[in-house]
Amino acid sequence: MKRMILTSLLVALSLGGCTTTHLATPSGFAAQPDAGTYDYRASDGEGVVLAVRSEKNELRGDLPFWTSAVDVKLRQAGYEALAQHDVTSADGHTGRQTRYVIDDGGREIAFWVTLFVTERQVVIVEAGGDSEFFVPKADVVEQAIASLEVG
Amino acid sequence: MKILTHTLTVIGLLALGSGCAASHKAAPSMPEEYYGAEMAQPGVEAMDDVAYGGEAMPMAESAAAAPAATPAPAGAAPISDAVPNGVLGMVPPKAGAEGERAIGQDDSEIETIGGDSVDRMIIFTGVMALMVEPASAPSAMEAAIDLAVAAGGYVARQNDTEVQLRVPSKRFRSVMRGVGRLGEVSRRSVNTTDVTEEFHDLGVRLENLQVTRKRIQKLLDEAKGLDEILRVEQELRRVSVEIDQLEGRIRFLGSQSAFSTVTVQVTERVPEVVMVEEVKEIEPPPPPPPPPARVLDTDVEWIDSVGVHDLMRLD
Repeated sequence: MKRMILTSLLVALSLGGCTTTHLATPSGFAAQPDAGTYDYRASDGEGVVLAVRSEKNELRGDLPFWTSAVDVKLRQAGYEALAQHDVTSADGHTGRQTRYVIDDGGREIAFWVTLFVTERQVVIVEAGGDSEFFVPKADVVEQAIASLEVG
Repeated sequence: MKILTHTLTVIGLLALGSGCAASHKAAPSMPEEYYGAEMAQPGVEAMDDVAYGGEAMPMAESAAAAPAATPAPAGAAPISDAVPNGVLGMVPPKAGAEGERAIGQDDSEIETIGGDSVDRMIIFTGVMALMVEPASAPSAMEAAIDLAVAAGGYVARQNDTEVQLRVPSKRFRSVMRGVGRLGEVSRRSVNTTDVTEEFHDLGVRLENLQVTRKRIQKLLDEAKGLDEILRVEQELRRVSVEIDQLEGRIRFLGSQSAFSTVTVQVTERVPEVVMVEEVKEIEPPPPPPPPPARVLDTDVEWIDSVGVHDLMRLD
């Protein structure tokens, strides 16, 4: 009995230390059960993908830090930043969204990356797809990102 | 018998006319001072007014002014009968006087050939290429023509850039010198051809033929019978034709040597075009783009996986 109580306490503590993110799957998208490295991944029938992952804020960086760190990596990889603005999650966290495009064999691919940073984690929301299909769904993607609960 | 005698005589004269030229003593037909004398041969007719651009010299006047030359053989007409007017270096008085004034006293006294060569017949051909100032070629050519006319010469041929002048050989050198002052001489050449020997030979042959013709004429007067007359007349015609040919050749050589050719080629200098180069300040080439900024290489693995390639890859 004593062992059961101890195990339950450890489980409860471990669950209490972790945070969960939740994003409402937009209409026309389907969440994939096996998201791989992502916490959440959904796509529509035309290949527009929306995904969320949470990473440990090992460096204790703030939102500008992680935004610029990701931006540097993406620019080095050939991404072109078109716009950047702040967004707010469903639970009131302020995030920063940078919108990129990149050429992929003559096709323009749109890619949005939105970061929410807390003291313990960095939540990365990525959305992308062929611009021809992504742009018409921009509003849907924005609403989905706004529905995020960072936790 | 008498006809036979006349016939043999005619045949003998034929042989004499065709082959005896060399046996005759060459009669000096040149003036004592070929290029130096104003008039050298008695009986020289007045020069062509047009050809010299001046007034003709009266025959009597010219004859009176001329010193006596070596007399021609007795019974032969002087060679000068066949020589054109002014062949022997004569300059018409008016043209000569004006020419000396136009060319200048110094130039007029310039001898074309030396005194030891006074009995030579030399054809002079000179070419003078002049470089003149822009737009002054016509005036330079006119000045050259004036020099030639003043020296007793004339224009033989002319176009926009070249004029060929014929001037008395005595004035050749002075005209060349005068023309040389009309511009910058870029090229000058003088060629000479000595035709003295040919001229003398022609003269001797002519005189011999003239003697022969007179004898034939005498035979013709004595001829009796139609056949004899025809034969003698035929021979007379042949000798006359040969005389005409010789006179023509002598006349040609005489004119060629009496008048020299001066070809003046005039070229205008190309106006100097001042090239104003626009000094354009050469803008230095733009500096090469700076290398990409050195940034923090964030050693966080998940950043490397952010992007559409991972995002859109369907596992």
